[in-house]
Amino acid sequence: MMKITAGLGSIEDYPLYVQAGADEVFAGYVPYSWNLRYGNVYPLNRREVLYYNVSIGTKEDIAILYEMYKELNVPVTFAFNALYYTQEQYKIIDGYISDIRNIGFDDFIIADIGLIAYMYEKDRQLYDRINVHLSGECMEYNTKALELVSKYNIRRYIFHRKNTFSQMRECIDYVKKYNKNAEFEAFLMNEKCHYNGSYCNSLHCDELAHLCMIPYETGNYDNSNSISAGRKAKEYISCIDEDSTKPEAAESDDREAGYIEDEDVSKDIDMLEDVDMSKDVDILEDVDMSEDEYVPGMSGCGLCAAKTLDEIGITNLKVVGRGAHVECMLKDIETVRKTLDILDSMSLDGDEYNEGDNTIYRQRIIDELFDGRCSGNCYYIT
Amino acid sequence: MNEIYELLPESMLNCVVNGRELRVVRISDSELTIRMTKEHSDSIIKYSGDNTSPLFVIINIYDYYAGRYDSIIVKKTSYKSICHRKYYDEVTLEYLDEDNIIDTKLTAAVNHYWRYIMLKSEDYDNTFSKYMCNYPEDKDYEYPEDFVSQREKICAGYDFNKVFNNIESEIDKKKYAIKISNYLLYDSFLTMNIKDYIVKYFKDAGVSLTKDNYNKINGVYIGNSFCPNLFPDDDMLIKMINKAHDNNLDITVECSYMRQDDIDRYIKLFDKLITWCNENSVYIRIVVNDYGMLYMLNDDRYREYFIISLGVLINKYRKDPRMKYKNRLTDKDMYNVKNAMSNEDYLNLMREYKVSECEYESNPIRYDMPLKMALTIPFYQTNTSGNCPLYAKLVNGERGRQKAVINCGRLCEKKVFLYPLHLNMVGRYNSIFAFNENVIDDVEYYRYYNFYKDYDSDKNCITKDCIAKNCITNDYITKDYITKECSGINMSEDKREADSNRISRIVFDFL
Repeated sequence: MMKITAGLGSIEDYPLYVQAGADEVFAGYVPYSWNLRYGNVYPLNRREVLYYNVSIGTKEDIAILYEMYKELNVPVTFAFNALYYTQEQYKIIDGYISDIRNIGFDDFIIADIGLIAYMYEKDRQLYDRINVHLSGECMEYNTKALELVSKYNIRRYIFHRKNTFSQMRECIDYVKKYNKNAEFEAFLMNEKCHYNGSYCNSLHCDELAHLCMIPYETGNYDNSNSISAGRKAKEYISCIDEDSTKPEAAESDDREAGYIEDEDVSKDIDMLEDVDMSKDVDILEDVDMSEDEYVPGMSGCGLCAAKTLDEIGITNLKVVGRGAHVECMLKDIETVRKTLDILDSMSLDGDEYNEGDNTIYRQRIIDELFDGRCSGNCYYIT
Repeated sequence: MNEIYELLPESMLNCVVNGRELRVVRISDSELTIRMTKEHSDSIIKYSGDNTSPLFVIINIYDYYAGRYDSIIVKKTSYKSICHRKYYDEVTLEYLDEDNIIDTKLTAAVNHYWRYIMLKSEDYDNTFSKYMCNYPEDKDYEYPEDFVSQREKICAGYDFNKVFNNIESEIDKKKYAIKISNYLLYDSFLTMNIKDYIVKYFKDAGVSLTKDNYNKINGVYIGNSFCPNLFPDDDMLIKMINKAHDNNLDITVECSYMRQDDIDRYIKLFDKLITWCNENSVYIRIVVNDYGMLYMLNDDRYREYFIISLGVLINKYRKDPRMKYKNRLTDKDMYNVKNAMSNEDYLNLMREYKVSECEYESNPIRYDMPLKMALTIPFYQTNTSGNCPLYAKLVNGERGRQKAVINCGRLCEKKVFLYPLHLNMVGRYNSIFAFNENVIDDVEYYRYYNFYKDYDSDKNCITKDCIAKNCITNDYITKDYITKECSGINMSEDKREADSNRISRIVFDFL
């Protein structure tokens, strides 16, 4: 059975996460000494803010967290997943990891291959005592890249948000040949970024919006007439599955619709994954964003894909949300727990599913978790 | 301060008690409650009433506008009470805020913080940025008409001839290349006369060079670092490198990240390229943007003919057109900034995979790049998506409804994402790019890179030791190759001095 790993912003939320059904939590550690020296100009992890409770700030709090862990037994992983650090920062982070390991936590998410190489070469004694989770912020996942990192005894591989099922499956099958104990994590809920974390070099600070969230318009490359008689962009969808009812495109502030030159490229469109724009799900639009109107996965949802993720070998499902409202996170964890319960009820004695279960599974998710309506903000369009 | 503040973000407010950093649970103008393990709270209790071992308490309050912490030694602190929670203790201390320093600082910090929270939660635009850092959010709704006219207007404001002048005033033997990174450019390259093509390449971007400078273009980059769908098919690629070779152009093949399904394709392609190199007795440069591809190319078959340059997708550095608004960013943070490439361990790892050069883009911060580098101007990438957001927007109606697509119809030939004019940004292909203005006519920019001598000989890949390690004792570079002029490795101490400048190529990329 897959496990739920949820993002923890403050240690006081840990017991609540456990109660909600989290099997594991991940947290950041950003002590005052780091903020004093580097602030969020050089962030220690991907939560590059000062004005939110997104990371644990003291060793004392980590020690308290360990007391909680001793009783509640839900493991904690610490994220040092900035895309890169400098040489002097490697030494400092090595010290932080050592402190956390000495308190009692072993698992760390790292995205900088240089940091992994540094610890592996320069502090092997510590490296051998910890478990490294390779962040999806590190790289594109393919079997050749996995060969490059194979010598580092990675415990868990965290796929990035854009990996397809077939890519994940091939990578998992490859790794399992030499490391049967390896774990594999995939994103499941929230914060479905439009761009790859690994290739996102822009600021994510308090004072500025994410660069990808700057208002934009879909416009023309040049001023030639690109709205000549041609197929509507939506017609590309109809080529894939003419029978399905496609959701209407969201309201757009485009000055022009996405009209494309009249060229029949429909036959050439070759998807890596089959696209099934759900027939039966009513996609929510203009959703009331008030806290009372909780909809699972409004900012990103992969619940319909959980069965496939299980089948391809994913062991851990990530619920993103360090710094999010704890009430929403608890509901997300409970929702994912219900998802896993549905899966559990469908699998025969924990073994493989029957053929044809995909449709049944999706229908149950829609009916039991979404009451027939979902966010439509799909992590994995299936 | 008549308020009691609870659980303010730890980055905003924390305290140190007898050397131990602690979370502030609650603070008022006379009391401070901190969270401690049960084991450590005893050490605080025992100090109560003991004048020989007083509590030494420092409160650190973040001053956003100053971009620093105010550390205040809290006077006359004494233990007041303890509350035993299930997993920890909350210890309350009384203190005396002489001169109301803590009150003043904390009230200001909290007021700023609350205003920020209200703006962030109530507004859907960037009003909070205006409040925080004077970001001109009112300009966020002025867009260009289209990308080509935007690019022309930007580029027309600069004299790109100065780039050549700046380089040549500082460095000898510079190479200049152009990037051919999409099928429209591939088609024109194959059909046009090279000289005419180069002139058109710049003119289409609104750039006019002198005849001498056009003639200095002596290299081409073929391929696309960001989108695998824009990499030319094999036949087209071979035709282009043939044409480049016939016209004595330095050849660089630029590859993007490598999807799992593309592994076999690239294996076959690289075999074809080796055959071509062997037949033509030429080496080519491969820009690698994928660790898997790096691993793949670490093979004897490839070493004789390929120079490996680390692409920007795996030579990561912070870049954003709004850097000037970033709080706490000082001049020190804009120059001589390190990234992973300055790390001995990362560099050694790259050397293990025979990386001898790196790709770098001009951007608002000047990073220290210890390897020979190709400097791409004037656009730099900020974000890239593995699943094209432009395709998602046009086909599915929403930028976030993305899926992996092979034959995408190359909608980017007609469409882009247009961003606010004042940011000089564009959503091109599957990426976001921004224009860096200070690279055009700022001679200091080039001087910075070419006379920066903070080398440590152990880390410098062009020292004799590195040469011995990477180039002579291995078969990576053949003896014949060593004598050839190359842009990567220097073979003697004399040459090392002369080539201590970093920039080996200027690469023009107008998207």
